[in-house]
Amino acid sequence: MNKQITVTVNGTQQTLEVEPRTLLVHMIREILNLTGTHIGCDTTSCGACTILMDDKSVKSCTVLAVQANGKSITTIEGVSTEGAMNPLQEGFKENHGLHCGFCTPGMIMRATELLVNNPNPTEDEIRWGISGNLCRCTGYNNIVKAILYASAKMRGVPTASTEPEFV
Amino acid sequence: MKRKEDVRFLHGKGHYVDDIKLPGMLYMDIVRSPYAYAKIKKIDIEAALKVPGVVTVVTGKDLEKYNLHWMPTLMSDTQMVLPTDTVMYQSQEVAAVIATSRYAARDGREAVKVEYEPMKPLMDPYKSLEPGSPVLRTDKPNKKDNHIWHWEAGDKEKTEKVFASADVVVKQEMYIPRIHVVSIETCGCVADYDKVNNHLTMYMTTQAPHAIRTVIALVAGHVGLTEEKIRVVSPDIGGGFGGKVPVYPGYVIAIAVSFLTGVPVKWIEDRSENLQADSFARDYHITAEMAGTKEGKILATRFKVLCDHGYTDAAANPSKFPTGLFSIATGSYDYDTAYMEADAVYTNKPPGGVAYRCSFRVTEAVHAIERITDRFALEIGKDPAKVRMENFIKKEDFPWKSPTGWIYDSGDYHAGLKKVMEVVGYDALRKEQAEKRAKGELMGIGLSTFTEIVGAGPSKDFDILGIKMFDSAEIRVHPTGKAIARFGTKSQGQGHETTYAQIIAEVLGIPAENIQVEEGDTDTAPYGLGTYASRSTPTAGAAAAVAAKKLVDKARKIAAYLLEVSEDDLEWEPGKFSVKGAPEKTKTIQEIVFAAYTNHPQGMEAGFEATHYYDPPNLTFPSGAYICIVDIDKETGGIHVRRFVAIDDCGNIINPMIVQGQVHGGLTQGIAPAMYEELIYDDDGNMLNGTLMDYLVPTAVESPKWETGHTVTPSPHHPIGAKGVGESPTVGAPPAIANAIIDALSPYGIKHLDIPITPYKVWKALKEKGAI
Amino acid sequence: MTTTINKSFHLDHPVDQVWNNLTDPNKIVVCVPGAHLTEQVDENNYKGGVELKFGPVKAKYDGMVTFLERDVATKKMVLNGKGNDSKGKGNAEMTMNGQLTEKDGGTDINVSMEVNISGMLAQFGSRLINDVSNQIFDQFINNFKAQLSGGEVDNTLSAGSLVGGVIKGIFGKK
Repeated sequence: MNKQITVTVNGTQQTLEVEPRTLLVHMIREILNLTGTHIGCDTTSCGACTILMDDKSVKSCTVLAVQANGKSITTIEGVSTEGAMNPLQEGFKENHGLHCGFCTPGMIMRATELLVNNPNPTEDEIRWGISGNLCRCTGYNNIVKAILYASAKMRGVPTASTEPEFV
Repeated sequence: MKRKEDVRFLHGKGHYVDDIKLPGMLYMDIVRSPYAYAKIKKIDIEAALKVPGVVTVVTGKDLEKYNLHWMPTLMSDTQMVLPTDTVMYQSQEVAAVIATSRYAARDGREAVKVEYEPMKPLMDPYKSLEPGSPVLRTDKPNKKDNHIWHWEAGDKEKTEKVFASADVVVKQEMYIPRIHVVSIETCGCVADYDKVNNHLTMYMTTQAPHAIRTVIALVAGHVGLTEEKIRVVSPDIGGGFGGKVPVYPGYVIAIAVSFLTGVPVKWIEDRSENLQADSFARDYHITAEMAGTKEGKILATRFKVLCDHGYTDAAANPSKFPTGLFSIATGSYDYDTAYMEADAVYTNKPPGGVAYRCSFRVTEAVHAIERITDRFALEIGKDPAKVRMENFIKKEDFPWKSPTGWIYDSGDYHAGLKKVMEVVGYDALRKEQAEKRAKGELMGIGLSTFTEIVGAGPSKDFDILGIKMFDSAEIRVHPTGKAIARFGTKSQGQGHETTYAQIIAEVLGIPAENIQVEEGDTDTAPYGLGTYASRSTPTAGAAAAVAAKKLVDKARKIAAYLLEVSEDDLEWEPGKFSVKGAPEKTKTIQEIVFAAYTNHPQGMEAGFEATHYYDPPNLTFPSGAYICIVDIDKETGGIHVRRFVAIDDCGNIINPMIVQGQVHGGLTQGIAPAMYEELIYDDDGNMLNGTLMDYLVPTAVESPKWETGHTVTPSPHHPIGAKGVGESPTVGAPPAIANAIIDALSPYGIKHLDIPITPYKVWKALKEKGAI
Repeated sequence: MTTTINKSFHLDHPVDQVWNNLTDPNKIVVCVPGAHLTEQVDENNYKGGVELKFGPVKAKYDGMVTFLERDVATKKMVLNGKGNDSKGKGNAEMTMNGQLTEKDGGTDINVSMEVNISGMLAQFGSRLINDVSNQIFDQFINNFKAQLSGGEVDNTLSAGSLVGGVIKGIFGKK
């Protein structure tokens, strides 16, 4: 028995039909065709599916689509304005915070809420803050650097050098 | 230079296999065996066929009609696509459900009823080799045991003599357990067979699209799918690490179903399936020995290995190297005597293993030599840094021939170790350690000075299923001076779109931003063996440089024609030719290229393109010197990595930012098996940690704040002196960390611990020695 | 994978009465939550089944219950229960060794139970198997005591009760 739900997706209200058991991540990827949100595991462990729901970062693989009824969700496709990159996206690009790109949308969505709650985080706070998002390619150093860059940009202070530092 | 490929990923516009949606596409889900070893008595698909949305269910008997139920492995063994009577490992594919939606396919999977007759599985490779053990491969008519092959390298008698007369001999058993690559994207495909045109397009997570195309043609050629009718497309791949090299049964079943129905079929495995059924790495039981003098000179090494391959040898090694490049285990030290042997065995585990972010079996080799070197240092009571420094091959002795026949191209091991020791303040750390030890506090310093061997490989020795391991680059420059370059490799995040453009830019002088790089579509890319084992820069990178050089040669001819001088009167700098003595008379590469289409010399071929298939004359030998410092909590066994400094030498560096990124990632995938990861089976063949809840992939919290640097010793035979680096850290890090932890515990008589070294292992070892 | 549980307890019932109930499959199977017998095959073998729920994992096993030993003189019994998951997701086997001794007019009972599970249950349930087996065993003992006293036997397995009990146990509220 399908259910009809109303969700605001990246600023646009949509009415959709879903099964009660449809996962939010499948609704996003297959009904809305927003494939920037990815699936990396089946135990809520990897965070590749992280999006914002009413401004809180959630793992969309562990939310039923019907739970999003009446709510507002933001995916990676919705964070930039007119194709220009937001500070987090810019931070990831300038600091080589991604390799294969698969965990990146989830990281950026998680970092978005992290910076809202804590606009000037320390490195350790960032590492704890993204510990629900796994990355296999980068070794995390540059992801942390990217988030620190975005934090500085958003606070209007000079960003650290984006050149790689060697001993 | 920042990466060109990032823009699409950052906007969520990456194009991965699961993003592909084709009209009429069906979904496939796989029924898997709960038992490690069992006879299949009955597969009842009646209830499954009644599930709304289910189109069909495929079993081994269906594939048998087309002789597709077995397929070759990359090591010329055989592997089941779907079983007809016996399952050989837990989670083995047993049947495939095809449905109109993902959820319907899952519903169908739950409704399939399979009756099994479980048998006692062989999980212990030593037991598997015992005479009288049940023979697992009953499908091989003449097989009387579970032994797969025996391999040797070096000089057995000479080594025995040296060991017999040496002052000091140390011996250590070490087990390197099974681990999994866990790329964040799992494996999958969309098989799209066009019945009208008899053409298959296979969208697939594969690191080696051309090799796959040839394998499909070999397996399915008899039903009409010959190689020109097959197109393999690797779109963006979310991490490969070697796990996306093998041909998994899921791919073949999807092709078979698409072939029979004429409709696209999508198969994407979920994480549990990925962990439990495919791409394991390592699983080597090693006995390592070192002979030396009591002053600390290494005289010889000896290694004996038992290789657990699961139920079939589906390793991804060059065909003449069943143990991959394990014979690099002689290491970075100057001695001339070594012997090593290995035996591979069948067990009831998933097949494999892959070269997980390392060159083939080099992680195992380096772990063995770096651990035994530390054991040797401990035995003679000498500082492990001193032992290494005094035994290193000297810079001026390269090219250097190893006791197992490798010609190391270049290296400066002394400089690397010296640098890392300076950066960490080694002497001060040893002093601090002595003070802490006097107070009963546990602090450890671990070294790893390794030589990697990458860039497979020269055609005289290297092939996969007979295909030589060259690689290729094809460059075409358009009239307006912009270029497209295609390669036989396939990036899964390594940044080829940027680094290849940089190589071409450096040789040819066209800005890297103007060079579009493509890989992964077998219809357009030149043939290559793909990306794994750090081979891209050494092979395809070299091909790019050589092809670009061919273009410079053509450009010279056109420039001479345009400037009306002879070719010898021209001087080249990347981007333009000028006349010797008349520097104002120049032609830029853009002008030259334009002329190639509009005003080329008579008799010359028009256009401006070059292709090169590069056969590397040798492998390349990156190296590194790593130091890890740990503090251990005596009460809990808790291990804190205080500092980790990695000095890598990958020859000439094309893009420092990308190289550093590779090192960071490789180090995190190095600490993982050292402290957290291991696939655990019980005696009944159940995998006990087959999800990410229990298989511990490091997060940003466990991953240390890596510090990296480099020394540069160019490769003398590579066109741009580069060696490749993507995997060195995964190879070099585990022994550095293991050595550090064991160093911390050594005052209590603890000489070795197998990775992963967990707090529980540390605590247990201390308790057994009465230290707590 | 295998787990072993040992329990000892005392019943204020004569040893012969306890023995009769313990060795009569129709009497004791009903004490095992979720279990039932379907038919007797011969003197020592009975067909039966058990339905269990470990949190989200439901398991329905069809199998055989066999008395391997029933020595009325020494009051020793060995019972084996083996079942395959009806969908082919694995199997479970349990062997129970029971020893009765007379004590002060009542009966001392020493039981050891070895449980072996394979397949999906082993993959996902291995961390729970000890606690869940204990839970089932405790319920069995309560039911057995009630049955001997002529009281009500609760053969039902309330949904979530097993996991609930396990979670309570982890937090110390047994």
